[in-house]
Amino acid sequence: MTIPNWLALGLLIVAILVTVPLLGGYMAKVYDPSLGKPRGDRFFSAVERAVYRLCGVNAEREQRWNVYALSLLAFTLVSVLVLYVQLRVQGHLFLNPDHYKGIEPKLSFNTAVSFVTNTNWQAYGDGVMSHLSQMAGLAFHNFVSAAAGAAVAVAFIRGLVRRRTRTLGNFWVDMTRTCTRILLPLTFLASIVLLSQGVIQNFNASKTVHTVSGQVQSIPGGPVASQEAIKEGGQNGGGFFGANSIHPFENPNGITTFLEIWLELAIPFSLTFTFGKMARDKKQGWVVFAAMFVLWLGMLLLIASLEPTGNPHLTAVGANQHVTSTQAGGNFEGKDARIGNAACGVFGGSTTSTSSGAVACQHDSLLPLSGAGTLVNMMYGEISPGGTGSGLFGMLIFALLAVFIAGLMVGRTPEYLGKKIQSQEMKLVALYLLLPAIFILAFAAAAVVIPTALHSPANAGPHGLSEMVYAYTSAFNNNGSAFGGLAANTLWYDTTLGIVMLAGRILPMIAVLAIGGSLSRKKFVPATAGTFPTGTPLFGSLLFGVVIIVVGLTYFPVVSLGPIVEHLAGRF
Amino acid sequence: MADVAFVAIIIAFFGLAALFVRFCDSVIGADDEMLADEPVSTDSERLAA
Repeated sequence: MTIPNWLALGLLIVAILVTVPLLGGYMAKVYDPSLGKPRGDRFFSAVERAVYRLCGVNAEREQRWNVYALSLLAFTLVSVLVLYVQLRVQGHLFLNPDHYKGIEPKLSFNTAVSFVTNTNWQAYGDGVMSHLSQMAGLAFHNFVSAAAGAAVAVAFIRGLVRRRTRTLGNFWVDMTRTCTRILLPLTFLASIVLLSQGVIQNFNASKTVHTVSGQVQSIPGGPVASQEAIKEGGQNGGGFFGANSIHPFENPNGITTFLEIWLELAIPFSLTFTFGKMARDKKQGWVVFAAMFVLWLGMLLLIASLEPTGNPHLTAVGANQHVTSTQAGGNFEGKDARIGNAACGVFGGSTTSTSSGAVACQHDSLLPLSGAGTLVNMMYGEISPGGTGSGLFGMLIFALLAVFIAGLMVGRTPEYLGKKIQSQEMKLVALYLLLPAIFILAFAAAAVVIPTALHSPANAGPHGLSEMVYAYTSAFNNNGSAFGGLAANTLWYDTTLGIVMLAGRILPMIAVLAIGGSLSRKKFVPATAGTFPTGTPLFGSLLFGVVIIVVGLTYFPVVSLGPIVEHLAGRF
Repeated sequence: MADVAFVAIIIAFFGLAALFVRFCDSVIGADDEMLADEPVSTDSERLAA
């Protein structure tokens, strides 16, 4: 990395450290009125009362965990069905200046599931979605899917910090408040900045132009800036264009690259502070933040430092891969000179650790060990810092496992935030941690032996395996980024990836809510000399170690057969 | 026909997810048992445990 690269990374870290207490403190007030009224409370309360009246929501009524989970299920089911129908009939709807037809069933299924589950895996390319589908279908779910994730995280925090109660809050209230008070204001401001930098925002049809070299080019239009802001701010990642954040209309320059990376990280990191505030113990939040931060920064530095070194095979045949006045240098396949190698590494490391899945370079073209980095980031379970809400509750599940392991070491009943962690919670924690391994490895293994599925990878050997494993890892963890190289719009991949996305979103959330429901009923156990403190660097180190060990034991074999074999064999 | 198949997959998944909610509820047990008053153990008992 060059000095400007290091300075930009340093600025990003400072921006995160400034954002976390400000945004995290604000979000704590949004979700916990006992901490004080958040800014703009009178205005937002009026808007929310209108929404509740329109939707028939009793905002005063709190829900037991299973009712909270069934509300989430009902909302997701209706959302998937409505979006499926909308995509099928988009050719008959308005705001379709390019006259795109309705989308075929398998692709509508995959896309509807993808956007409702906050995955934003895009098996479709450019020239498919009408402006109405982009705005009222995809962008709408960018907001509400992120809000649903935040709602589950907040319910889980309440389960941890409340005592002797049956309820975790109200799903509809938590989701509405997330949209009105956090996502809409943040993305409105971000959209304005993106617009100022050249991201387009219009309802134009595509225009055909003749270039100076005599070629014919289609210049697309569309409401891109508004969608771009929530694409990053809600860790959705679905680009208006197939090229995603490599497209100059989505990401025109270095300022927008920086802003988009910050947007990806802002809410997930800040929710750790929200957790600390709601727990009335900020140290707890900072410990979770530190574990997330080290995981994020470590993998990011690996990718950002490997890519500028270039491909050793090209060096061996005499290619100059150094940075010069006429070339950006390094491993430059699949990258854009505007963005560069190091920024690609920072973006790639951030997008795969945040469940965003937006891309600023082609991950399929990364060096094998960099590709492994993006894959392992998702295999952590999107906890470094993960998606809106899903990152926090994922890391807190690892925290419960860490206190359980610590308890086993010293022969004591484990406790977290003054709650005893017992067999019923640990059964669900184990289930939570086993679900991804079951779905990702089973479906990837099936794809390896089914001839129809084997036609899709563009590469044979370990790289082809990486492409398939990456797809299922991305789908289950609701990341949505594609390694590239995999022809995913087939009946097999559209269907199986759709099922895996649903499973990866819904089943872990149910388990998390159940754990929260179980913990909320428990009494508070005061800390004693024998209590393992969880607000210390020691616990942060244990948490970090538990994540590495669990993920390593689960996925090391498949990562070995893919990118590590590719690196050792030198076939790239 | 394909539309029916995909809608059926969606509804079947959410049916199974609702069963998963019931399963998780059975794992954590009834509220009344948990909310019943438990004797508070002393520090010495907790350390011995």
